[in-house]
Amino acid sequence: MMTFFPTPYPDEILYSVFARYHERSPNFNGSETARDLFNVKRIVCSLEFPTLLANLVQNMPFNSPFDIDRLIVEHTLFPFYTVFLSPENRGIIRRYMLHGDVEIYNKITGIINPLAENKFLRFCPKCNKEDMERYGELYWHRVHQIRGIYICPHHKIPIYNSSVSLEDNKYKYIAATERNCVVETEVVYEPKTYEKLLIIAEDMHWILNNPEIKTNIKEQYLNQLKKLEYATVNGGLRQKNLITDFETFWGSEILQMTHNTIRKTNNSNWLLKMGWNKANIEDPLKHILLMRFLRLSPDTLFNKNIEYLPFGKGPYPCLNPVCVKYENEIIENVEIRNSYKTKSPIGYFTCPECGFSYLRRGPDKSIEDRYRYSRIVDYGDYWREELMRLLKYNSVPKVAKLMGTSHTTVYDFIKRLNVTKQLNQ
Amino acid sequence: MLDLIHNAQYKEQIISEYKGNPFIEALPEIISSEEVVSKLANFPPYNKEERQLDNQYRAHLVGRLYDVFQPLAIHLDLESRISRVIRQGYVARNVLDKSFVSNNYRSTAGSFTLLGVSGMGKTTVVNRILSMYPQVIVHSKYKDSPLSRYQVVYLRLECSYDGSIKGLCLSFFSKVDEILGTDYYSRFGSGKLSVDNMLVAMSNIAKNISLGLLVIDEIQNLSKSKSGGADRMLNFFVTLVNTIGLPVLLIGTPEAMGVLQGKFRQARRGSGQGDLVFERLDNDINFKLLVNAIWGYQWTKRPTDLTDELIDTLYDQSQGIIDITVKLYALAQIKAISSGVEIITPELIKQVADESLRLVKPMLNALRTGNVMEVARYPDIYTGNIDISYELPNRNRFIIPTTSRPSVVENNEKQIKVKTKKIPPSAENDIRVMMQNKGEGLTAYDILKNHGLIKGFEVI
Repeated sequence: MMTFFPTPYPDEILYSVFARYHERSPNFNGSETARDLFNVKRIVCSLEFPTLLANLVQNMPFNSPFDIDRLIVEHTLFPFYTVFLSPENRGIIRRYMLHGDVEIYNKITGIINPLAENKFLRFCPKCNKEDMERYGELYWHRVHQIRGIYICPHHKIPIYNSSVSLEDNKYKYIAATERNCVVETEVVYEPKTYEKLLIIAEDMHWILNNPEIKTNIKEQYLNQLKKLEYATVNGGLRQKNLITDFETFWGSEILQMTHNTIRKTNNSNWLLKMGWNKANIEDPLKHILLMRFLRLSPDTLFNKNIEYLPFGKGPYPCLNPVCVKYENEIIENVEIRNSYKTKSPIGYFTCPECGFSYLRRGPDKSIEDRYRYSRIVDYGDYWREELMRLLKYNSVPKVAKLMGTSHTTVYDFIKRLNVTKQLNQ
Repeated sequence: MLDLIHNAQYKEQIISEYKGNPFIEALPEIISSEEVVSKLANFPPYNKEERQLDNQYRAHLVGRLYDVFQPLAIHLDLESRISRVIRQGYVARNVLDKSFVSNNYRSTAGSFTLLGVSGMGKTTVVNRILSMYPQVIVHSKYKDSPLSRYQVVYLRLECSYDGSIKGLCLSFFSKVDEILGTDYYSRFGSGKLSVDNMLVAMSNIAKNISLGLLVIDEIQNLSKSKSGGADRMLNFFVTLVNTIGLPVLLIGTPEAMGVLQGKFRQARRGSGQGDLVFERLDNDINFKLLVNAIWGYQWTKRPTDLTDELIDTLYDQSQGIIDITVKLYALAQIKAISSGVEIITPELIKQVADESLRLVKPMLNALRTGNVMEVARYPDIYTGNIDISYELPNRNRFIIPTTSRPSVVENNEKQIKVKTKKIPPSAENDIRVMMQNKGEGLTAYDILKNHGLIKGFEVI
């Protein structure tokens, strides 16, 4: 049991709280601290998914104000890493963190990239300076320990490795001090690389603090892919375009730094799986790479519904010149189909007033496109009646002009009309 | 454990240094001396009708006398010192203060020593004063920010019978375990650790349970410790005070004086509150107050009024030692009841003193005669050479001068050097002459023997 529990600082990772506890405690070695904290003789000091937290809360001083779920959400990387997981899997990991009795190995391989594992605890020199002034001691920040983060989102400067190796201190919690957080050689990134790394870092920070998805992520991606014409209306991916554009967007340096290089030859490429319904890619970093490539911010991805509207929002105008509602927005819905040849979207519009139906090859480039059609599918009964009426008093070219069509169409129509008349007779 | 625990309630502080310090704000309020008196005093219930009970019952009732506690002026002084020392000690150890967090703070703790003749109720009064404080305070939230920790306001230890450091550490561990439910004794008290490591553990524990005051009783046992043991222990207390800022209160009989006046003299300069000595009471208002307080508890059939003669007799027989005074009065009552006299007279008191206090009689006699040589034979009552020169706390009280400066006043004039001439050996009986004139083949021993300076075995 503990006679005190250090109050965690803002964005302090639990590992660091334990390390500060160890430093203040009379304990001479890590196993005594493990006993104080978790009632076990030995524990692997996990940075990302600490376990046995249920024991921790029980060992805290009487009337302790700390709530286990608040500790997990505010002082571990759980919210960041599990943001794309299903609620069931998230529950399994939470249970593991509480009691440690479930096997989570196959659950976490999907969310943390083993290649990108941090060998050392990491720090931002400016954060440390501020902490020293404000609190009188240093601590390990949660956001700096995320796999694949290179820039401090607060100060926008590079993050450095401390001299504390996680591998060498498996059974010991080591607190941040001015001695183990030393900048030996200053790191400067290329401006282009820096900008991209900063975007990644800021998105990571945003997700860490807003780990709630209100939309269907896969649908969001698909709609955006369709919008940017990396996917067809039916959902087929234009793989070659996607991969080449993605690689040029990020550049090989970033993809190597974040350990997310793409192998073009292999069909098990992670990028192609992102939109595929059956596979699950849950590593948040990969999602950030994709969403930024698709020109999405995490806020839009998580909170705002992305719609695929190659013809804009309804209602759409009726383009029948003789209809009472001509060029009035009256058509509520558009039926989008796939073009066989070009795989571009084709919209079918039908006026409820006159039965006039037209199609347009999309997607619309400008607002004027709304008043354009590629082909008329059906003129509708009203149009035919009006044609008959006008033909009685007018010449064919005039009628064609009035009806917004060509005289051949009118002749065609008369011909077909006569054929049906004869058939009827 | 749970009944000891008090949830912290933070009180508005009047003194600015005490503001914003959760440890001080959680303590009971600072009280006036009137309140201290009413809190310290203990007067057990007494009923006049009990005088009519049968002898055997009344003999038992007399036992109540030992529960009576009459606060005296010196008790108030002690209470105020303890109150100050606890709060002052916490001033620098504010967990919310960043200079404390970064271990870059100046200790505000002071220690003080309470010495007193055995039987003056030192332990009793300290216990009564400490019991006005909750022993364990639990903090969980301070001003909307979580603060989870225990605060142990005081811890009372007894110096082990042989004055060993290990014994002190072990009793510290077991005491903390007892009140907090930790397992420090089994962890640090087992044979694995050396005494030095135990001391490190002890000071760390004291730091993280936010100990307010460490009371070490029976400090005179240090005089029985092995050579160097007392110095090490006292140095350790100084470390506690100066390094981790923990106030220490040492309690002992005058026997401890010898130990404390050794090297601790320097450390004592670090004490902000000076030392306090419980001397025997003089036959003055204080003694009268005490006798008055106990006199009401009378179970003889015939009530006896308190007269000056009775007070003087009691003083003469007890020599102002509180414990003896109360005992004498109680024994006199029992004697009066059992013998059927049913009244207390000076003669009765003298008689009881002669019969029942034979063991302490030589000491009391020594005190009565005032013979210093006699009194000095009993170190636990001998307060003769206590040097209580109160020194004002130094400005730089943590810089203790270790080497005394030469008291030479620098003058422009050169110091006159007096050369002492060597006196050449001349006299016959000078050893140097003997050695110079020594013959060949003679050792120094032989020469000295020949001159009759070394006496042979046969002479004796």
